Amino acid sequence: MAGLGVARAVGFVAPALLLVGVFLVFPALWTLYIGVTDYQLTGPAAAAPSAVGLDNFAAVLDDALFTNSLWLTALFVLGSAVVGQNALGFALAWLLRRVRPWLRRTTEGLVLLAWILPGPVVAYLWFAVLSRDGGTLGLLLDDPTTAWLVQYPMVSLVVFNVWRGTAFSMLLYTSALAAVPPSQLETARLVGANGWQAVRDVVFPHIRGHVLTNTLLISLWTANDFTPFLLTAGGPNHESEVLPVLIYRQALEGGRLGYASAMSSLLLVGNLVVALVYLRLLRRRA
Amino acid sequence: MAGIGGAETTAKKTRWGILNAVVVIYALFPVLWIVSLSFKSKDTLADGNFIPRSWTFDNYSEIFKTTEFVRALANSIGIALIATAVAVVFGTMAAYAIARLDFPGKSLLVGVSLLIAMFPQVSLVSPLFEIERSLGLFDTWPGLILPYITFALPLAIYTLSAFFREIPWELEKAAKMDGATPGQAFRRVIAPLAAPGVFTTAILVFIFCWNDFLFAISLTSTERSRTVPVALSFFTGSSQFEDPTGSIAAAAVVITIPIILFVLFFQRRIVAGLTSGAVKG
Repeated sequence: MAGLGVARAVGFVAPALLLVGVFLVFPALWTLYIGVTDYQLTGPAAAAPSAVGLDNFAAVLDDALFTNSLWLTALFVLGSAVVGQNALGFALAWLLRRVRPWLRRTTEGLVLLAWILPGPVVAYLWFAVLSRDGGTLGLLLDDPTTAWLVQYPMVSLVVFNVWRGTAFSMLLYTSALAAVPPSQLETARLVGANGWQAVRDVVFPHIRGHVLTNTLLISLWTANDFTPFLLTAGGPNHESEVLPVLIYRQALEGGRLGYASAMSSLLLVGNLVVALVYLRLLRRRA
Repeated sequence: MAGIGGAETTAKKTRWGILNAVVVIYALFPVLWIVSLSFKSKDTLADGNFIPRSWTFDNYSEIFKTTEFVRALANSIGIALIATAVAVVFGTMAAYAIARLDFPGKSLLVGVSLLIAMFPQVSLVSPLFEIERSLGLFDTWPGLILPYITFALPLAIYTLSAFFREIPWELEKAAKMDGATPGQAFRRVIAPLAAPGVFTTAILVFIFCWNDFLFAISLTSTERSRTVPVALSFFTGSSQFEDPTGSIAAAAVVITIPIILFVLFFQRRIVAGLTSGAVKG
């Protein structure tokens, strides 16, 4: 079977590889290439881009907008994914593990819904909630003058992303918790451990790998997430311009394709490094 | 812990009741708000009432009268269905090879799939834009279908491989020993076992295509191939001088319906699909 296997396997895998090669790997390499040119969407540099070496990268690293955006992205990932979604997802999974199935399923369904609703729809929902005139939150707090998305853009984005993304963490922790032996929890309870001690000393050692996987996935998703564009478009005055938004605005609104590609390349490399570190950690565990 | 003493149970029940109410409000409130907006008549749109004072279907009948929305809906459905079908077929083939055949670079393929599944979409927007303009794919159906398939494939392969790893493939051999032809063995034994995984993957891929905004806004420019999530952001109301809030709310409800139906009917499958790869990884 081995000899025949290779030929057949190639046949089975080829269509997928071909598509991924043409529409994913090739554009990714192109991004790296454009990153070292002065390519523009319009103007003379659009017709005949010339290589500028690492100038773009140097300029990007020197750009206050980029540093600002890097800092905001770090804040966004740390606040909404690493802390927010992780903690809330675990708390929900932990609290729901013993309740009746219908209750658990309903909660799960609702949280899941927040995660898989179309981005423009949720963005619109949050507009309705956060806007200044007649926004739901303003009405609830009897404070019609606060424009949440303008006055507290990053806080709004973090809260929004916790709301939107908690589902994945919750589902993952739910199935992870199912693998913790109940007898050990029972023992912990008998020796008088409180809930927090039980989580720390009994549950956590069992689910350490899941915490790692979950944190990695939600961090990368959050760092690459484009939905903030729909809520604040990076504004006001770049105060919520996370990396994907900055890249998009530089490329398609500013037309500076070369410059934006240099940023994209840095984002790609960042993703790659994080993922490789993760794969190594996993392998060491296994 | 559950059900020890009478007094404790009542206290616990109350606590659960409160917790549950909080979760329901947290998840559902914004959704209900937009449903309520979509049923409000024009003059009561901004009154801040949660329950519309005068119910109307005008917002819905109006958006279905504009080609802007109807065309976008047709685009959304067609593009998402085609992309899902192709991605699932190619993904199943690749995952089958990974599960059943021995070839060099197999484990690498799964690892790379996972890596690519988390790729930043935004970093590919400008090269794709260039490629599609030079190939004449810009602002066409294939111009969206192809990137969707590509972006969905790694996820599909990854999820399907996790499912296929669980299939007891020896059953196929056993069926053949009992006298079934290879075709019968596949159809009667393997296909029914593989179907749930394939179906789950199809749902996930469809949701991804249906929800996408970034590709749809960057790779289209006219009604010809604009999908609903993008059309939504171009909405100006049925006439130029009208507040589009009601129309946007109605359109948002329309594109949300399939997603809600998926969650209602296939929740368990979606959950299994989302966690299968990650939990075992």
